[in-house]
Amino acid sequence: MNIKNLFQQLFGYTEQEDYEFILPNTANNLPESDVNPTAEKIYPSLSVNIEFLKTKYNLLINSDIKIRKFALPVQDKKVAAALLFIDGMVDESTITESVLQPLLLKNSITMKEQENANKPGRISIKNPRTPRINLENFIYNGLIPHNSISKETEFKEVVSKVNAGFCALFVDTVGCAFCVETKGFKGRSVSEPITESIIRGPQEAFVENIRINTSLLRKIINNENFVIEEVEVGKVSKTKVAICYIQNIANDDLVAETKYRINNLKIDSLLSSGQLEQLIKDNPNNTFPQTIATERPDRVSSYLLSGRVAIIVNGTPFVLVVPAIFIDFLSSAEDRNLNYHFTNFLKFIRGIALFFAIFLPGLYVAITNYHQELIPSELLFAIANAREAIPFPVIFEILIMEVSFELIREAGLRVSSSFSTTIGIIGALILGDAAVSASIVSPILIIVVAFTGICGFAIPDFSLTSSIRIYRFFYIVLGFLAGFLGIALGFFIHFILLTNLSSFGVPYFAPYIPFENLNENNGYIMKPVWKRQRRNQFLNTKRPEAANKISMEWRKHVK
Amino acid sequence: MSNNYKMKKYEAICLILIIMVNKLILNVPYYIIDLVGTGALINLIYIGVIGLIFVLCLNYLFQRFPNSDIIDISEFLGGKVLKVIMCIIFVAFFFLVSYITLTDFANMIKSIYFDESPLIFIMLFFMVGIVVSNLVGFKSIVRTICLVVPFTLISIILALFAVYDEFALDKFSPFFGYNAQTTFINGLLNIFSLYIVTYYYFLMPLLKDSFTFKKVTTISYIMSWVLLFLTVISILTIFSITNDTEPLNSLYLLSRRIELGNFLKSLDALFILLWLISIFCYLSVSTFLINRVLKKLTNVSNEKMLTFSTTSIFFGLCLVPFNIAISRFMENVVYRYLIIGLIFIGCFMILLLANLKFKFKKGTYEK
Repeated sequence: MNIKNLFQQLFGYTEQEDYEFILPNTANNLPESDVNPTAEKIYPSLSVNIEFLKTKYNLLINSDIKIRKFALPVQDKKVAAALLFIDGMVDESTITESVLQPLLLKNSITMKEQENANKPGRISIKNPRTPRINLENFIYNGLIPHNSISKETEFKEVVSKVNAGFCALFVDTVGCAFCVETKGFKGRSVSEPITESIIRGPQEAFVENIRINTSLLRKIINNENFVIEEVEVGKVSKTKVAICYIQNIANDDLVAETKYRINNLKIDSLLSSGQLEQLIKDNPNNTFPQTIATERPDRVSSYLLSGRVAIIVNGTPFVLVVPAIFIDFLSSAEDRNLNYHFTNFLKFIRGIALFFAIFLPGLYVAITNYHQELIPSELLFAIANAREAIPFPVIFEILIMEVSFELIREAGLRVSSSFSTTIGIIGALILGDAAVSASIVSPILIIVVAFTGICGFAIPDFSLTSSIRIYRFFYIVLGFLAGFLGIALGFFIHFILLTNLSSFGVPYFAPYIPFENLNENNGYIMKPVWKRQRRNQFLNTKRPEAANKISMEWRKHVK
Repeated sequence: MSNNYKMKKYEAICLILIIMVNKLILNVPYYIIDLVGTGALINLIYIGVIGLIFVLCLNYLFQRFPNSDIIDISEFLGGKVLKVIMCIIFVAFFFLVSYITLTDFANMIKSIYFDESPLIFIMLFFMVGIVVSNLVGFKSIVRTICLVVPFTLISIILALFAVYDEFALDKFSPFFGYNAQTTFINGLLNIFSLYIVTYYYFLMPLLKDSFTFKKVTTISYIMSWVLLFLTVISILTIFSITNDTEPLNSLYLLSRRIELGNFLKSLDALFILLWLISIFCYLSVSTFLINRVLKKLTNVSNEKMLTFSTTSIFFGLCLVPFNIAISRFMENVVYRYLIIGLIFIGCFMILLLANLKFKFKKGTYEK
């Protein structure tokens, strides 16, 4: 090895290659054509079409795919026809009343009238020859009284629509299918938010159905500039994803970037917005949340009106909002509805809660091990007295408690609500009483852990709380290793990583780091509603003004 | 990931302030008082004015070299040879300064909290911080500094206000210190306390808008000087000045005097926590600059790749056992004369000559 190569190896910069996981011996990867059917034309022969669909939908094993065959009376003939739909995704009464009845019943009556008109004794002008009708136009224009009907000539389109809740009508001798919208999903109705309950404000939450969710937003934002674009994600699942924004407010580049990321996901299936969040966020390895996930339409509307973009995933009641900054995760839906004095007080409390939720156990370990002088003498004696009978070191004691606390929380979440109460009682008894009586932990530690837990619950965002729960353990270990030196190291690295974050081009700690003019932005401290005249500068919206300079114009007219 | 982040005006000011704060924590005020006694106040005003004139001169001289640091200017003046020499000198200089900072602070921490732990254990924590921050990038370092600076400044101001009830003018007399010669002639050596000037030589290419250089340097210089002045006043108020005083971490001792009623009487650990974070920031900036100079020297594509080697050398250097006398000698003599010789004379001369060369060969300089 010559010197040049040696230097190149030591100091040369080589781009890091992407990690590629290869699962050995594997299932046959289906060719692209099998996953995405190629465009095949619909045949004029019904039997061929039905055979094709039976294969496509695996009708032998698929129980909810229905094909209803019938004879369609046309003039003096009966033409074979079939209706394809997915049970559970369609409204049966719509199919009966808007599709089958007109095709069978109404068509028969019309024919009978025509026959009566041709009977002898009646005044009629008999045509020497019955004119031939165009069956395709006859069905499309005259037989199906439905507002949403389309003619499709390719199976790909038909399959896509049937999957979305349409029914498809195939008629013998006709080389197309009629797709009629008969959606009627079985889902839960709009109910109260479960994870973001508030006292004063709307009590509606998103549901799993994308169309209901978009309608909930439309109900609030009555503006023609409110755009809902739909794309499909997942080669197999073809999950519908709606990208919502207000065209004359949101930054075009932000919208384009959102669409770009979503359109460039090469995955087979997308099952939830949580999955999508991980796929589109800027720094996927960082545990801190980088998109807002909310189940409240009023909150999403507020973000949309401030120039952000919302993403709705079909099948998930949580809507994503991008970009997100750190202070968003400390804001509650309640904030806008309360007097700004009280809101700011609550925000201050949440800030304290955040600090203690991350640092308190670590600080407790650091102070009791290394910095006892910080504790007033009387309190120090009390702690020493309480710990006298405890056989474990503080680190062991606090880890036992924290792990137990996490276990109880996890168990409480995973079981039904009736059991979770029991688990809570058992946990509280074990932790609060039995552990102290058995001299496994000191009472002061119970206070520390319980207070930390309460602080964690005071943080409005679940994703942020989850992230904090992980970091808390790091701080405990660092506090044990080197007291405040360890805590300082943890804090420094933590902030180095956090300040490196950005969400769709917006720095995570905007508008404070990098510092932006607070007159042009709404920071953590909430301004009175009449002073929130401008949209956040860091969002670079098309309409920076959110209100007139004097929003309460009525004040000008005081005599 | 690129490391070419450009700072805004206030970010650059914060970066300079964090360097000054570290000097305040690490006994620079003590060395000033040690040299001129109670004449430190007059001496500080005197060197403050000289320093300000120096900074204004730097602003003027840098006008012809936008987006260039002292290494680029050296190359313009003396070609590759001078560039390589300056690179080596600055790498050695930053290593030495970082070494002094780290050993001093680690010793202080060890004597206060980790009496039984080896020094290597304490230093390892700092090394981890340096490596992570430099691998993540300069942008994060700067932004973290912006977050830390306000709190650190508050902590220092609180420590200074802790002694307001003991403030008395007679504690500063005699105002001229030992004698006029010591205060004004020998005291000129105290200009080393304005060590922040070193970073002005590297600031220009790191700024988003080069025309903010003048504002950044002037504002940061004045703020730093005010902090230094207040610290010296407070220390003079509290500690008696004698020639044989042992070096003491004066700001730490000031912080020990803070009491909040009868309940919270010893809050110095909280101050140490904040100052620890500021030391992490400072060492990260120094390592970043070492990497940056080494990048210019070696033409590597990305200076981040140098982080491991730089930190390893730095760690090795810190482990060299020096006795306390040598360590003090390096802090008080080598460090002092090196800053004056290199920063206030050497680099200034290079800048001056480069300007003259520019004037005579107008238009030949390329950015």
